[in-house]
Amino acid sequence: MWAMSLGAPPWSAATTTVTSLVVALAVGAAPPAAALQSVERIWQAVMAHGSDGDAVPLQTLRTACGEDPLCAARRLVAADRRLSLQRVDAPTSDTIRWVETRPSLGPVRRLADGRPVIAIAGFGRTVTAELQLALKALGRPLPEVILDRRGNGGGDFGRMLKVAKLFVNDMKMTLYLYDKSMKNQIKIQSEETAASVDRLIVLVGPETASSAEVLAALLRRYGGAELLGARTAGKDYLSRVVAVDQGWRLLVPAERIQVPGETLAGGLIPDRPLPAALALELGP
Amino acid sequence: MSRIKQIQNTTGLTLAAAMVGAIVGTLGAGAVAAQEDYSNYLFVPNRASAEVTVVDRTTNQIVARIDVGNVPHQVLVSQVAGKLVVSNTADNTISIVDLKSFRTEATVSLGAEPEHMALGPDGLTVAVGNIAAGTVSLVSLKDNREVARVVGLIQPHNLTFSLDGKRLYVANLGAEHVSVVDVASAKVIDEILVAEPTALASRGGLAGREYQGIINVTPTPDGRLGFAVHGEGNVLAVIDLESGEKLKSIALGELPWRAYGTAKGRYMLIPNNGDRTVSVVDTGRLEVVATLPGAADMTGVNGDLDETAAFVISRGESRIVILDLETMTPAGSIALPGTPETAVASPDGKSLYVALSSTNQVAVIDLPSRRLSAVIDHVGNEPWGATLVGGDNYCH
Repeated sequence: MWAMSLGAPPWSAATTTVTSLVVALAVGAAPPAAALQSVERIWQAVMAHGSDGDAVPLQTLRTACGEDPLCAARRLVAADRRLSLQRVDAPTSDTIRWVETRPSLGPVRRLADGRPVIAIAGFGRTVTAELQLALKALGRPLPEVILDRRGNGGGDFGRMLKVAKLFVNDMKMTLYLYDKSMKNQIKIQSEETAASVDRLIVLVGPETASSAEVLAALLRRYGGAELLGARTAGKDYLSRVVAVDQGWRLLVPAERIQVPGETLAGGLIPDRPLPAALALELGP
Repeated sequence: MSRIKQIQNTTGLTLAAAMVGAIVGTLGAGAVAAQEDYSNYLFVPNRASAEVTVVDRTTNQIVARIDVGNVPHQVLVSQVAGKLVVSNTADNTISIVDLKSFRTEATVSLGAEPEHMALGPDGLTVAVGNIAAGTVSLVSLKDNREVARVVGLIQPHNLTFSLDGKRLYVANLGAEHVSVVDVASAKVIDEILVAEPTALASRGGLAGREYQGIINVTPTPDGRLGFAVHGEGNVLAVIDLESGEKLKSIALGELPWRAYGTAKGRYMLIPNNGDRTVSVVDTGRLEVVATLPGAADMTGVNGDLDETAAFVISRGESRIVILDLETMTPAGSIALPGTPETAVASPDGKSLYVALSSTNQVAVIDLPSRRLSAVIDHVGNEPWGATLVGGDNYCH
């Protein structure tokens, strides 16, 4: 699947429509809509977010697939190999109702010199709450915090932005999302309760990818963080997740991400390698 | 098929389990008296003991235990048919119980993991969402059988009939759209987009993703508007239920759950579990008029009859948060002795019944005084909700 090929361009030079990020969702009256069926909905999403024009025409899809959405999605993938289909399982009853939630943070640990290390493994639905709790437990003042993001392969983009807001005080972060035709600038207002950390160190490595890379870049650019470790994976674009049917989702490569002053394409280059003593103490 | 446990001549609020068992043992199924007035009964599905408990609200005493299938999730009552319907999620069935005798008269096999149900306005058609199959079963209570199965849904969660019963609005938990089903043909005839496809920047794709799409389409009392919240999109769509058009999108807090309407439909209240706030939407102005403090893991909202107060169930903090809807300010909270799931207010607005899953109880809140007035013990293992005829019933 191309989506797993890091650094592959999500679209060609052709242009179509502008998309909006979910965190900056347009609010207002919507025009009347005609009845929509699954095949058309999927086709429209691909056209709006990812396709460079070589996808299958809607009428062709309808002729070939009728109202079978999975058939339509497979034909779209066959026509544009940058799209990918992934299987999903239905959530359990307890997951739906928040009885069970996958934790995003590992346990907070202290190095021998007392510096706290917070490992952020993912961007689950409670990641900001978990981080707020962890930071609160560390107390204030916080002279130095090490965020270990070496094994973080990214995830939900909107939640990542909320994590960034926890660490950056008194300024607006900016990042750009480039869709196929223009730049969409996003201003991110910091939380009033942003953690006051004198020195922020972010550990990165080859497994640090996507949202995790963007977070590292935002924290360096706007939070004064120092990045230690190795070059990151270099996956610098968003995918839109389109529901196909009960068991399948279509991943449509969409906007490319840019943090001013940082280069995500090809991987973020850290400020310096992870010191051997620290690497030894942290473990893999 | 059904083992009926009728409990009579008990006094006091608390029933010891052993006493219940002894009484049950002395009564055969034939000892059950006819029950004509269903509105007096509170029905409680117990997820871990595969039974529905019936509580007499005048005495707060348990009067029957009805064995059903495994992991009963929701119950609904049809006064027209005189039947209780229970979704047995782990068995892929529903139980249909005769309310006069509390006997299970049919167990109907459906799709995988039936959870949520809705009763059509005719009182005889039940829609059941098979969440793990992506289908909705249409069941007739006339002859207790599945008459059609609608395909093309994506983790169907709560279901809402139009006032005329011709259409069914299906909240797809796994997607960004509401599906509109033509009941007569049992086909999806429209998909109403509520949110943009979510943005993902991940090397691992969808692995381990916890996704919350649409939980419910909450109608106004006149059935004209529907309010559908998309969890991941942090957005509420206002839908014209007649035309199927999305009229407006309204930004909410983080990870909103679903909309709960007040008694006369003036407000929709939406708990935002991500940032622990509650958004209050004025249904006339179609905008957020207040964002109030909530609590952890909010699973339901109940209101009073004059729309001056809302009672927000917090499972994460085992309490009810009270919101004053006149001043749009917090108005205290009510501590609960166990973990609350969902609740139902009595039609007269005097009492609120809260299922407490961790302590196998139902808490009774006196709404005028806003105090815990009673606790009904031993209702079953892991009570998951409470249902009243004429109440504003909901399921999480």
